[in-house]
Amino acid sequence: MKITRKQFLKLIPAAALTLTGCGSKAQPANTESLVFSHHYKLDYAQQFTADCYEGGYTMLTIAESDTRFLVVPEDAAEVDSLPADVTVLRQPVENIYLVSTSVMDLLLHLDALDSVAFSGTKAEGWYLPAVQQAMEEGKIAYAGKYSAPDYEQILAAGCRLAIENTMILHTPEVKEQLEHFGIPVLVERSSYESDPLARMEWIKLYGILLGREEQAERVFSAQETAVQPILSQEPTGKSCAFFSLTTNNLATVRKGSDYVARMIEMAGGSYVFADLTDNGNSLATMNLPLEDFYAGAKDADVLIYNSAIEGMIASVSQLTERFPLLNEFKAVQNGQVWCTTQSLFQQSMELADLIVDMNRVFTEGTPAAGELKFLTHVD
Amino acid sequence: MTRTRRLAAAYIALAAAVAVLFALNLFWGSVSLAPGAVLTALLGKGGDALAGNIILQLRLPRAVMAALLGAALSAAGYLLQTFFANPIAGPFVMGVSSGAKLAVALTMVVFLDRGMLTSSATMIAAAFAGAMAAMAFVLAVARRVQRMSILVICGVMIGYICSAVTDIVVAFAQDSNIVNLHNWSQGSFSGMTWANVQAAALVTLPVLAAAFLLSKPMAAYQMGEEYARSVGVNVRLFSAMLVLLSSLLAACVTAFAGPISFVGIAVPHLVKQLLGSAKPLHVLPGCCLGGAAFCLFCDLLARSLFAPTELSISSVTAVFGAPVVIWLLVRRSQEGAR
Amino acid sequence: MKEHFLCGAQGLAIGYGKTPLLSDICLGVQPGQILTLIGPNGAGKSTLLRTLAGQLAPIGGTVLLEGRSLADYTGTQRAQKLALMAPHSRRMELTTCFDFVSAGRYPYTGRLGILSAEDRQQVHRALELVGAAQLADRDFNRISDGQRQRILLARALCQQPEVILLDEPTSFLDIKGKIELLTILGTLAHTQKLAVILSLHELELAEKIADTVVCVSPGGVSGVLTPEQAFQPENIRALYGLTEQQYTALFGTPEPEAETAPAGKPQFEHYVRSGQKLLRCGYTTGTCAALGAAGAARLLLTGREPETVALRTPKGIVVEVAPLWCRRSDTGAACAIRKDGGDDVDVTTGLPVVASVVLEPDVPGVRIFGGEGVGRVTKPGLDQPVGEAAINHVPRRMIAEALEREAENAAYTGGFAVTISIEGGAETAKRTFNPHIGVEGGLSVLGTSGIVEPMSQQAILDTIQLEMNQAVLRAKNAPGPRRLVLAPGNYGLDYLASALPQFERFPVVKTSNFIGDTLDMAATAGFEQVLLVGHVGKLCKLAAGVMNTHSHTADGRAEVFCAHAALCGASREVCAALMDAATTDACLDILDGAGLRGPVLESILAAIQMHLDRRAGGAFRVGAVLFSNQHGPLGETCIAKELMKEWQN
Repeated sequence: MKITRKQFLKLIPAAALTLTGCGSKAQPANTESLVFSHHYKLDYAQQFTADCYEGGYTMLTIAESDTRFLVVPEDAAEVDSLPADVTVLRQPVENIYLVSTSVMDLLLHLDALDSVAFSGTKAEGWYLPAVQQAMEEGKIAYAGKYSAPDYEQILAAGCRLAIENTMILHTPEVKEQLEHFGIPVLVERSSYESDPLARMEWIKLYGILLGREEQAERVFSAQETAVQPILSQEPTGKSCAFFSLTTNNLATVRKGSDYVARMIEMAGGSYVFADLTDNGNSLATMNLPLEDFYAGAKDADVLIYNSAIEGMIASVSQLTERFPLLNEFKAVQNGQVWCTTQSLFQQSMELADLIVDMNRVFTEGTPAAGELKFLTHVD
Repeated sequence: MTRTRRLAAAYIALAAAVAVLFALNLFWGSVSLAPGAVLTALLGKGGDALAGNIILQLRLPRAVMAALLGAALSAAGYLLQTFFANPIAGPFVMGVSSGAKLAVALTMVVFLDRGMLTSSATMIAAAFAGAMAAMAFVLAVARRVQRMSILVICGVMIGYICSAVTDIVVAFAQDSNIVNLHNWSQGSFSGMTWANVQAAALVTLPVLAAAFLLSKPMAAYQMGEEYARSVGVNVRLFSAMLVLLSSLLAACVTAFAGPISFVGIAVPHLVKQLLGSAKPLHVLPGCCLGGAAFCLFCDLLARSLFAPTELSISSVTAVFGAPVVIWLLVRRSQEGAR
Repeated sequence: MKEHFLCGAQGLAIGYGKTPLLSDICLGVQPGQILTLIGPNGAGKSTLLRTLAGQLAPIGGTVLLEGRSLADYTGTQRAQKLALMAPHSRRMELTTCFDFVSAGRYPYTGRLGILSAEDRQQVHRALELVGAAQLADRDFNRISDGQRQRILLARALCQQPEVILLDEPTSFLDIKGKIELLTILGTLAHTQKLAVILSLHELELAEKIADTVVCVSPGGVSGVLTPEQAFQPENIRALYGLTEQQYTALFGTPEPEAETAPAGKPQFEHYVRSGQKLLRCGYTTGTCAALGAAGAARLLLTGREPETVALRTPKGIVVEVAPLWCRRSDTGAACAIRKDGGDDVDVTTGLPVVASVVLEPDVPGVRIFGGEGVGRVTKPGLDQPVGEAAINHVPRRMIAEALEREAENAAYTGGFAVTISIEGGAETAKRTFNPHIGVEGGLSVLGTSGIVEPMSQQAILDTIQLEMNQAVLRAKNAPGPRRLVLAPGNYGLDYLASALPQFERFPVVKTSNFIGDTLDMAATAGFEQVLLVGHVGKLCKLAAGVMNTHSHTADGRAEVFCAHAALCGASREVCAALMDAATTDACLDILDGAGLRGPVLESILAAIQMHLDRRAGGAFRVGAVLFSNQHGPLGETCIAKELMKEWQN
């Protein structure tokens, strides 16, 4: 729907009237040219909100961020006198410099891979075949790590948006430099969502951004549906530990408020370190001395090893060689040691499948190999 | 008091310190256990399996390892200080640790890239090789350099070179490797298994014994290479032995526990002051005891200060060890000015 | 020289690397011997020592120890026979001296180096040998440099070596430390029969302690030399590349100089003020002889070499000096004192006067003989009879008194035989008048007052003027005409005091040799009556018109006597005898023999009067009184007679 400037101006008094008339729950952008329509419906996500305005404008507000993004449809008029903290993103948003790896899968599910021109991870670091192929074909280029992007390449290609995660906050100068070059930086905070469904709901943000709202909603619903049956079940009564061993022999475990812990709960199990709270930093994981790990996890029914950092383990003996006390663990003695696939954390839109996998492990004990998507049994 | 009495008193004090700290390391941990439970576990009288496993499988080997490696490290430091006739020589300073770190970094990049979990044996072997290589390098320079102060600077430079190469390697590594390497280079006694203890003892104990047997030529060497030669010491062979032994000790420590700073430099000086003697015959056993006590103490602190977060052992040893080195250098310059 | 050396080198070539620094080295040392290496820096002394010690491999030739090649010994065997003491540079902490020294037991201790009781004993013994037993428990860093060198030596001794090599052991020591260390080494060598090889920079010390010397120069290494050979000036100059000036600056010429006594000991400091100047007095050869005799006697009687000797001269001034050297001889002892003329430099200054004393317990009294460099009296008329040593009576008395005093101090009741000699005296005497006056073969030992007052011309004149001024003041106060007594020297004053004491109330001025000048001064000062009293030996020159009687200026005594004797009709023989006479006393004897004394003296006195009058120029009346110590009063001039009569009143 196209509105001419003249027509737009005529609408102002009407908009003003409408505004005063509304008792809206959030604070839409208080400009004369934007007319608040409604809040975008989000069921789980806590870290962002989206406000829709008449004319197809959507204001994206991300928690703890000092920038808001106004997504403007391709043909829509420009908006005057926006507050200083609003950055305009006119669709189509192309040539995205995507640093946050967990976002890629979301975009994949939106069939929006061609909006991405640059990646902050090299081809060999991707476990998503489509992405790897795109990088090998040159459709997506490697433009440097988050802390050291190749500015020249990015500028030359006419990048319109950089999607970073909170790691960028460790190197604020990079964010400033990108913004200085006129490339808006969107710092996504999906990792701060403690609910896996909330994490996945972020697909809706990208749906808004790329104009594929319906597709986003569809994909999300599918995941939601997949999980529902399990959520309605009784807890299985199985306890589970999710860990990896560092090179200096400490056990890295998720904190109690972490989304993986939540997934275990959702899958019907109980996370052994559920009461492990914040130790002063906002990291999702914590390094535990082996004593504590032993004391906490020795009676866990299931052990899941996180392969993301150290790689997959081929056999339990690899672990017990380093940590002989593992032999005393109930899960080891019962042959209930599992390992995640390395693609797990990149397949961020398929967390439901992990929950399903875990639920099957809890309920069936030893499902056949190949039936589980993200867990492999370790002998 | 007389010399022998003072020595005896010092040894007893050191042994007592080792015993007390060893016990503390057993009785204290991030999982609190009742003292009674600890004792039962030690005496092997069954009891709580949790306590038993923690004590016997975790705390006991860790304490033994801390004592063993502490002894090895301070002995290595003393041997290097004697060889280089320099009070701030030590395995860390001479670049041995940096060489080990480089080797470990290379190993990680090579193995982890193939997704294999490196077994402890590989890492240990790599660290060992790296440490020995760095030492060989320093010695090659030593042949051309007469003054010992320059030699220490060479060791420091070699350390820097190794660090620089490590950084280059890391630039090509995945983030996970970087994290891994960073963790390893913090140094830790965590997760020491009885297998580790066995392997370390197999290397360390014979080497310490051999070093003790070298006390006599070492005492002559302390008075000058020329003097040693004049009383019949085979200086060439002796120097080679000394360097080899200290390299083995330093490499062993770095291989199992990562780089640990300042123990090698500070402990020999503290022990000498306590014993009131600089003779190798007295100082070497003292160093073993003192190093064991020092490492046990530092490990206890590393574990306990911010439990359950473990501090890296290197940071704790540095906090205690560096002031010792500063005090030593100040005292020396005062005496020299007199 | 095919000697069997304990430790030596044969055709040795030394150096670092391939090319030899020095080659063809043949040297060696015997037990009990001290071999000193001297030579300039960088020549290779250290390299040589290290090669001999087995630290450095020889490039060619062999080092032999007890006849076997050093390379055949194992390290321990070698260490048990040969010890090297080199400068210590390592900083030792928490090490006592005992610990340090016990390191020397390395070749004898067991596997772990633990000391046995025997080892401890050896350490203590070594410490005692170097005189450092009290340092055993001291921290090695807290001892002085001199003590440290001794500790290093003790450590070397612990090896119980037969040969000990030392590389510049005295380099950083002060003089006392150097001497102490070398003394210890010398004792060790001689008592323990150690063979010692050391390198030294201090040549004077090397000369003293070395039994044999080897010179190491960039050009080559000498063979084994005696110290005399090695320390020849030409050798030293060539070895160190010194110019003649440099050598002289360092070591002095063979000519005697006004050198002071060894460092730290007082030189004779007695000064006279002469007008504006302060002149340092010296002491006579007689004083030297007496001091030497005292020193030698003291060594004999007490067994200790005196650091200084002193005596009170006849003039009353105490002279205390350090002997040049004092040592025992086969029969007794000898002591040398260097003649110090103060600011009055004459031929004898700097010569050592040596007194050799032999005790004669059975024969009381002191017998004095003249040795080499002391002349023999050949002509009559001198202080000593013909045939005697030219040691005048005052010195003889001084010698005897000095010896008696030493005997008294030591409670010795026997007698002494003293021989006085002057080194270089015979040569020096050739440049004096001695042969002419009748002293042959050497110098005379003389001195009436024991003190030599320096005689600067102007100074003396100033002194005289001063005395003259004082005399004027005295004369002004006395009634009557101004009267003045003049005397040339001590003799005159003595005579005045003894024979003419009544005239002492008048102002007396000493003219020294400046008779004419003094008379001029007297004229200017306004004196009216002047009486000149002097020894015939001096005043007879006035008869010839010689107004400055210094022997440098003019002599003429013999001529005076001879001429006036001829005038009085003496025979040719008498005249010839008078011309040959050594002293005026001898002349008088001759005249007595010829029976011409009276007339000749008359004649001479007349001539004196004439010349005096001429010089006085009418300003005053002047007369002369002559005497001789031997012959007593000889006569007065006519005016003198008058004056004396007037003055009686």
